[in-house]
Amino acid sequence: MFLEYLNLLSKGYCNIYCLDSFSGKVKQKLLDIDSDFCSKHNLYDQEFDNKFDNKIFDLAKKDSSSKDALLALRGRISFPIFQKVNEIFRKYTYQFENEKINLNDMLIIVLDDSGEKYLRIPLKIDAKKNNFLRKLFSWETIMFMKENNILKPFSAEVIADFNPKLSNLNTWSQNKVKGNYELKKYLKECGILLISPWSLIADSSKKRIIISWREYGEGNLSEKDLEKLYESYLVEYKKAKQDYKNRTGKISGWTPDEDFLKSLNPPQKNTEILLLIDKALRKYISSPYDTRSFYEYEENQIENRLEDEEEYSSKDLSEIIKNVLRRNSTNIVNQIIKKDSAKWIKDPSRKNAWMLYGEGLSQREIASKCDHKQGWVSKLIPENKISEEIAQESAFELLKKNEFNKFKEDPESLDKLLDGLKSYLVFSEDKNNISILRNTIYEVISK
Amino acid sequence: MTKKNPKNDPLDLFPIPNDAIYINSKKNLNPRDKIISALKKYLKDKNLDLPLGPKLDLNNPLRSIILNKFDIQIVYTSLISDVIQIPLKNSKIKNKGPQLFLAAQLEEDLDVIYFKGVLKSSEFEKIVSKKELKKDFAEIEIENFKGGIDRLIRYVRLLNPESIERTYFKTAISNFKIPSLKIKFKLSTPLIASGLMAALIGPQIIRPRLIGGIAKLSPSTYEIQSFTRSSDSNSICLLTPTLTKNINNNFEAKIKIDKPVIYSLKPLNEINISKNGDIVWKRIASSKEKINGPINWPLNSINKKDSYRLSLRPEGSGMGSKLEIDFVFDKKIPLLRKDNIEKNLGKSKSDWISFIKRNIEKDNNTALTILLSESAPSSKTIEKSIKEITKTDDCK
Repeated sequence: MFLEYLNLLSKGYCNIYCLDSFSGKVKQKLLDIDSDFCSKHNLYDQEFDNKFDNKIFDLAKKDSSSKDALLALRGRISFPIFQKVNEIFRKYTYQFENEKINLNDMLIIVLDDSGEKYLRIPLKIDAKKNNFLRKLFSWETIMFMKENNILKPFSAEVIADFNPKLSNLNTWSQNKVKGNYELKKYLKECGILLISPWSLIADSSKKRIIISWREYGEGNLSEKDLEKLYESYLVEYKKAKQDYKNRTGKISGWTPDEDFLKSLNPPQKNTEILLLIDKALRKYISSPYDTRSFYEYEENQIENRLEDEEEYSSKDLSEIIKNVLRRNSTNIVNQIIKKDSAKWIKDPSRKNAWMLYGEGLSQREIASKCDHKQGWVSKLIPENKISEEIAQESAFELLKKNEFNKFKEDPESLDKLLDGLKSYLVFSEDKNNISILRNTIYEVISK
Repeated sequence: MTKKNPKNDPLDLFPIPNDAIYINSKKNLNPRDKIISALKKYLKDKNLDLPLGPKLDLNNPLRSIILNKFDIQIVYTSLISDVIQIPLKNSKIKNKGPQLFLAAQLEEDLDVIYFKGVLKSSEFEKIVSKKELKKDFAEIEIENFKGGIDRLIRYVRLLNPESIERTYFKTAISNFKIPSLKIKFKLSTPLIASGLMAALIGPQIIRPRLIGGIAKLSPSTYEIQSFTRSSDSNSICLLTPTLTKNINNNFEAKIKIDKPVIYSLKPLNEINISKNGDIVWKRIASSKEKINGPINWPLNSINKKDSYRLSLRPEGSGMGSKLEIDFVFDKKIPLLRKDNIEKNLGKSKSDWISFIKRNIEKDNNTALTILLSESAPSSKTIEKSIKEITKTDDCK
């Protein structure tokens, strides 16, 4: 549906996609390109084409004080930028159960070129007085901004670093979106990491590179060449990043240039193979299973089934533990609920979710009843965290007693003790099939 | 080397773990400084008054940190990385090696720090002993670090500092050796721990969550009109896949894996699978051989472009008395590949159990496909879980 929608949008060089600040919607705006220029290059009828992209790019550089070719280029790249942000948003809402992200907030960051002929460039020297320099948006101006490290809007940054030998303009623009620092910062607040292809390759082990290529690699690169390429990439990437950091003071935003690609082994003419490696990695990482969230206390539960359980069934100790747990559960749950209750007036579904959890409902059921996604529930009620906190406080208290003294000397046993306490809180159920933790939450809220 | 090219879109985004710590750091802080800031922030948020040092040299990257008298080597990598490099310099000096290794994953430009977990010296030694070591550092998988920052706090807050030995190996890597741990307690305290837990709540606590999750699965019973002379209707008690009715009042099952398991808890007379209208596989019960138990997908991987229909005929019913189920697929996402999942889970029992457990609620068909797979490792928990699902008490 989404792709169909995007396909319906016009893709030309005379319009620019920009965000209308009044309506908050993306609109297509006709660019003020000289009509002679349009006629000469048949711009009105020209559809997106790599060769034509490069021709216009060369023209923009050649007529460096003219605005027209650059305007057409700005219009051209606004579509892949718009498309990429939409794609990220669509994937995000599908993949992650988090409701913070807002499409317009993302678009504001990278779709910030509304096709103006002139730019107001802030003068760094006297920034307090908001002095600006008004300049025609031309190639010269882009180079001026690049030298002064003030490349804005985002389209200027995309165009400034573009090299037709390395990539086509479409892919280039979309990869620049992935590497945009402001967008990364925004997504960080939503709990999401946006990572550029170049970082992803550098942050992967040789093993991951090879396995992902075996599974999802497209192209004819042999494993041997892949290994060589990866090893040289790591060495050169470190150098290039350090150099970039020294030059710009930034960590984000680096993209490989011709020299970098040539320095690899085997030397690369363009970014094509690196992007295929990146693609394979992303497919591999997005494989649906994830064993990382396995809680240790569950793991231990499985391992620790000793046969001589009854030998130590001391009722006294059991009572001591239960009392300590009960007291700490109530204290900690009280604190958590008190902290969260400050948000209940604004969002009553939070209280409802806690209550439903206390009544024994599953995350899925709570999510459905509160009209939220399951991820919202798991963030609101971090069962593992709460039980760990209670278990640690309780163990801290218990370890002061002589009977428990030995646990201080042996980490494995301490782990078992704490995991046992957590299990007791989360899995042990009363007559109504409600766990101790849930019951405590229910009681605290019902007070 | 190209093998496959599934049409799923690659990920652009990766979730930042919920427990990640966000700091506001000044410019020019190095990664270690940022990690220490995050650690301090955590301690402050949790009101934990644990001494952190060395006070005069806390930001020296060559030194371990001392938290509540424990010597901890901070090691770090990026948030998306799968391996971590551990400098071995201190571990080569007697009485200078760390007791614990704390792994942090950070996005330097975003000031996001996630504490992946902790390795004790003994755990580190065990992992490293299987590795080919580079001269000054060991490279190990980040997944080896367990427990997040909670595990670090557990140890430094609750253990005696002497309870964990320092890492130490002599100059030659092959002589890597950690002094033996205090075996005296190791023999007794785990038993005490288990004993105490058993005393606390009895055997229930030992019941792994997986079995609990399995026990909560309820099959659905579908009455099938009999066309035989007997006026009784028969029923199918289907555990998986889960069925819904579409707008045409036909049954359909949302399938997310390419080789789904089919499991009727009551015996069947016949089962067949049609692809694009043609029966491509079928099995009929005989007087000697009933159709019982789970049926692992008998065909090649499902192709979402094809249409599949499953037909089940319950025991005791004649031709025509059948339950027909159309498979439906999510257009947006590719099917999970059973073989791939199994390959990735390898032989690790805990990974298999973890995978099944995490999927049992949201997609029981996938979870049961893996649970009932012929490749599942031999595990008591898995065996018990399978026994649990074969109970037909819930079949009405």
